Amino acid sequence: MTEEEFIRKLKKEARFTHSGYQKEILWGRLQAYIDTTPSAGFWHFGFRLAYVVAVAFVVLFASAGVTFASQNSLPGEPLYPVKRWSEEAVIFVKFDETARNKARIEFTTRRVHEVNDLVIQNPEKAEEVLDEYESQMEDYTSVYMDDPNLSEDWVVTITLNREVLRKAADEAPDNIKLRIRILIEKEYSNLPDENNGEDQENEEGFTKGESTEEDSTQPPDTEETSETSSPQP
Amino acid sequence: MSKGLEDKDLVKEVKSGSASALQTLYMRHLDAIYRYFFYQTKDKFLAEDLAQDVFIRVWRAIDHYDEKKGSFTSWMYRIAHNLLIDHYRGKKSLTLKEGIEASYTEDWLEKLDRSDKIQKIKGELDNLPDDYREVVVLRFFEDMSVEEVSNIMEKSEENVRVIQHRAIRKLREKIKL
Repeated sequence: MTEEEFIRKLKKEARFTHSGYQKEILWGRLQAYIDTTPSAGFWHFGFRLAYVVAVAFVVLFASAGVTFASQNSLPGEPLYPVKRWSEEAVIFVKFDETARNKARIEFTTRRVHEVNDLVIQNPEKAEEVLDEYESQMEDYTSVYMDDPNLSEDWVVTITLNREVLRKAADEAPDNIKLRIRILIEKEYSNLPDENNGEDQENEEGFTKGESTEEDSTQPPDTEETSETSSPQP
Repeated sequence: MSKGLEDKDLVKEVKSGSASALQTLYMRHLDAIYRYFFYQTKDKFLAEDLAQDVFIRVWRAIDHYDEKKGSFTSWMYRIAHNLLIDHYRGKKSLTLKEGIEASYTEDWLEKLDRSDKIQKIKGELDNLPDDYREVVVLRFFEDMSVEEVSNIMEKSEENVRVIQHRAIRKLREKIKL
């Protein structure tokens, strides 16, 4: 018998198999273990899924947290760009131009509060914000006033903003104090006469081109400049 | 339903936690894995426990199997080889409790015990060195290539060829077929 024949016969004789019934019995024993032990693949898949979900939640909550934390930030602070980005995002997701302008009006209040917070601690930044606020006045006031859905909001907002700006002017260094007062008067000039009249009636001692009681306490050069820059005769 | 699938497809299903895919692999490979242990251990019940343990380890470690590195069969025999080494070294590595229940039917055991030829072959294999016996089982009983055997046993292909040659020569002297 050759080696090949021997191997072929050896293999044939050595082979035996389980019956199907026998295998079922054996599988039953194994299954009892497997049913209580998820596969490594399951754990890895489950772990990966859980990891992705966890990371997504962390990113989501972290983003939300950073955005939330940024809302009180001021120009020059690390989170301020996030605050401005979130404002742009709010404007971007509005469906129509009126809604977008309403959001813009709302955010002007933030700018004047920023000026109020910055006039002492960072006057340069306060001026930058004032520049931006003023620029927005020039660009949008006529737009807001021409839209019946916005004009009321705008007048109310301007009035409230003015109170904040006045407060800021009280504390501001002279150059910024002057700047703010000019801006306030400029706002008046841009509003319709009817509103100006209401304001004049409601706010005693503060009329276009005239100094308030508070103004009279200011240094003479401020008053002088204020008067000269007033649009009133 | 998964019976018609190839091993690599079943492995993917096992990786996602499918016990039924593992069952199909089990039904397909149990005979070979059992024979592997049956001819290399002295106890048919121990062979059963070791065979069961191979599939438990497959279930546990399936995510580590990379088909680019070899076939599923080779990977499974590699697990079996490591279990056998542990057994030779006297390590108690079984996951399932030994003898927890009698899994084999009396008929099947009797058939196995009464097969003179099987007992003769097993008896002569027992007299061979461990690595000789393993080469014979893998190369000739389970039709594996020299390359596959060398991967499983972590020996050079040349070494496997030498061992198989010597093992067959010894068996031919002892077994008259």
